[in-house]
Formats: sequence, C-alpha cells, structure tokens
Amino acid sequence: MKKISVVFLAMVLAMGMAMAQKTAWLTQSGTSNSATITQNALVSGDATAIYADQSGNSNSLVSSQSGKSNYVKLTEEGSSNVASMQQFALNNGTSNLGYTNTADVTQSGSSNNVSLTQKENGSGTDYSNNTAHATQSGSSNTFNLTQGSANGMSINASYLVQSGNSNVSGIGQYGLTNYSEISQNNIGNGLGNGNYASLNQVNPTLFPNSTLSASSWDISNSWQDGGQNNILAISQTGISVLQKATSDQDGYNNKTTINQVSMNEQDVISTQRGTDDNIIVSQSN
Amino acid sequence: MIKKILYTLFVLFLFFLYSIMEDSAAGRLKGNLTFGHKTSENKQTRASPADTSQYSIQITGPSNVVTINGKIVQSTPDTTDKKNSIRVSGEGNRVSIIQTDHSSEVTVSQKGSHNQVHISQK
Repeated sequence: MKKISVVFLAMVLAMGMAMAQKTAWLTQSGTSNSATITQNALVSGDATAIYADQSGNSNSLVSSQSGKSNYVKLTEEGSSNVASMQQFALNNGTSNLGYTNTADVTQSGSSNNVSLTQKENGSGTDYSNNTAHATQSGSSNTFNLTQGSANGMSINASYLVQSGNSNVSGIGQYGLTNYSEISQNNIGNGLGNGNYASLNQVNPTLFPNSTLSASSWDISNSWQDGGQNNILAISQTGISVLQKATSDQDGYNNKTTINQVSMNEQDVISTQRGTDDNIIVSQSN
Repeated sequence: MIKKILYTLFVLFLFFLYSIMEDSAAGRLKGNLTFGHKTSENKQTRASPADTSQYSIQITGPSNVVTINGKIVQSTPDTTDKKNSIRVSGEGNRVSIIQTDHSSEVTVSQKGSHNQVHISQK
C-alpha cells in the first residue's frame, strides 16, 4: 500500500512539474515589425520563457515576464531595432534559490537600443537571482540594464560586449552581490571611439548589519580598447566586505572615474595606455 | 490521516483526467478567425481533428488579422500542454494570442513589413 502511495504521489507531482511552463517563440523578418509578449505567472508560479528572433530594420519587442524563473533570448539583426524587456521573479521571502531572471541578448547592426529590467516581484527585502548576457555589434547602440531594487537583496551579474563606435551602456545593479563585465571595443576595425559606459553598484541599506555585510561584495571589470574619447564611470556604494573595480583603456583622450564608498576593503586597479588620458579615483567611508 | 491525503490526491488525479477529456471536447469547437474585414472559419492547415486548440495556421497576403483567443484557448482547462504554431507572411498583418492555460506554448513566424504580434500568457 505504501509503495502504491509513493508511486501515486510521484505521478501527481510529476504532472504538476511538467505543466509549469509558459513559452513563446517569435520570428519576425522584414521592416517595422513589432511584438508584444506578456507572460504572467504570478498566481500559478510557472516558469516563463521567450525566444525572439527579429531580422530587418526598425523592429521592436516589448516583453514582460512574471514567474518563478524567467528567461528571455533575443536576437536582432539590422538597424534601429528597439527592445524593452522586463523580468520579475517571484520570491518566497526567505531564500533566493530558484527565483531567477535570465536574459541573453544579441544585436548586430547600428542604432539599436536595449532596455532590460530584472528584479524580484515586490519590494523590501525580497530576493532574486539576475543574470544578463548582452552583445551589441555595430555603432551607436544603446544598452540600459537595471538589476534588483534599492532595498532588495538580489544577486546580480551582467556581461556586456559592445563592438563599434559611439556605443552607450548604463548599468545599475542593486543587490547583495553585484558583478559586472563591460567590454567596449571595435575588434573588426581596430578602433573603438566615443564609447561611454557607466556602472552603478549599490548594496541594500535596510539592514546594514555584520552578517549581511559579510555576504556582500561588488566587483567590476571593464575594458575600453583601441580607441579615443572613451568614457568609463564606475560607482560602488554600500556595505559589502569587498569593493573591487578593474578598468583598462587603450587609446588617447580616454577618461575613467571610479567612486567607492564603503566601510570595508576597497580595491581599484585602473590601467590606461596612450596619451591625454585621465583617471579619477575616489575612495571613502 | 494518510487515507484522507490519498483520497484527496485521487480526487485530484480524477480531476486531471477529466480536464484532459474536457479539453479534447472543447477543442472540437471551431473558432473564428478574421481575414481582412470578414470573418471566416478557421483555416487550419495541419490541425489535429481531435483537438483544434492545437492549431497550425499559415496565411499569405496583406492586411490579415488573426485573432486567437476566447472560446478555443480560454475555455481550455489548465491541464493540457499546448503547442501552437502560426505562420504569416505579407504586410500589415496582426496576430493576437491570449492563452490562459497553466502551461502553454506558442510559435509565431511573420515575414514582411509592418506586422504586429501580441502574445499574452497568463
């Protein structure tokens, strides 16, 4: 009887697990196409996934996902494409395990724009695991990313590669641990000019106790290679036991600004190779 | 106590089976798709006769409007996995899909210009 009960219970659980998925596949080719995708699993707690592929010019994607774990994969080829994506992970109030937002974005062309928000659903001391991978190749592209919320305790990671000239990125990470990699270059043409990258890493301020501080850190690695008139601005603020910013610029007339505010360890490794470059570092409690 | 739990699980299992049967029955209902400015019957190219809620639609031409919501999708119980596929080519097409299934999957492919897709999964 017990064996039958166990098997029966496993069947019911397996059916429930197999059902928990909302998936949308989108392929658009041409010009001036638009797509709006909304996935709302706040009640059911399902996982959500979007796979979008747009080729052509002036295409747009607007997506919103609310579920236990959210995934979006966007591939756009062409120019003047716009993507606005939001991911809201459910939370259980006690742990960040399993409550994830993940985004993989690839754009090739010029004048493309990506705006991505990844955070927990709710406010206060909620948790979420946020990861963003983005690659933009071309010129005059823009990438804006917000991970976590001001008083949340998220784990954030972002990996951005922009290849070309006059690209702009703005990244805000708000959580217990923040990790960022930014690479702006122009591998194909040898020069990457007029690129701008800003990074803001902030820890939660609601409960600045030693336990929370011990599990908190901010790390930034940034590269702007082979060009001129590039600007890099990094800010790390909060309670983390370690703030570490590493930057590397190659070319001339490049500028780096790093600002760290913390009671604990602060590390800066900044390298510039070229002429008429400028570095400003500020470290304070 | 264990008997009560098992009885509850058994009732849930029966409900699951009922939902599948209900879904097949609901799927036999034919929905309406709008082509241009007139409403016509669902032009399904590879639809399963047993469950038309798992649709596959191919449309070619300008200014088509494909609306899939309401009766077929929304009336489907939350227990059946959906794998829907829509292909549209032309200009100015609009595809709107609303799925309220607990688990759902949809694929939309569009070729052309000034096309729109709206997908809502709740």
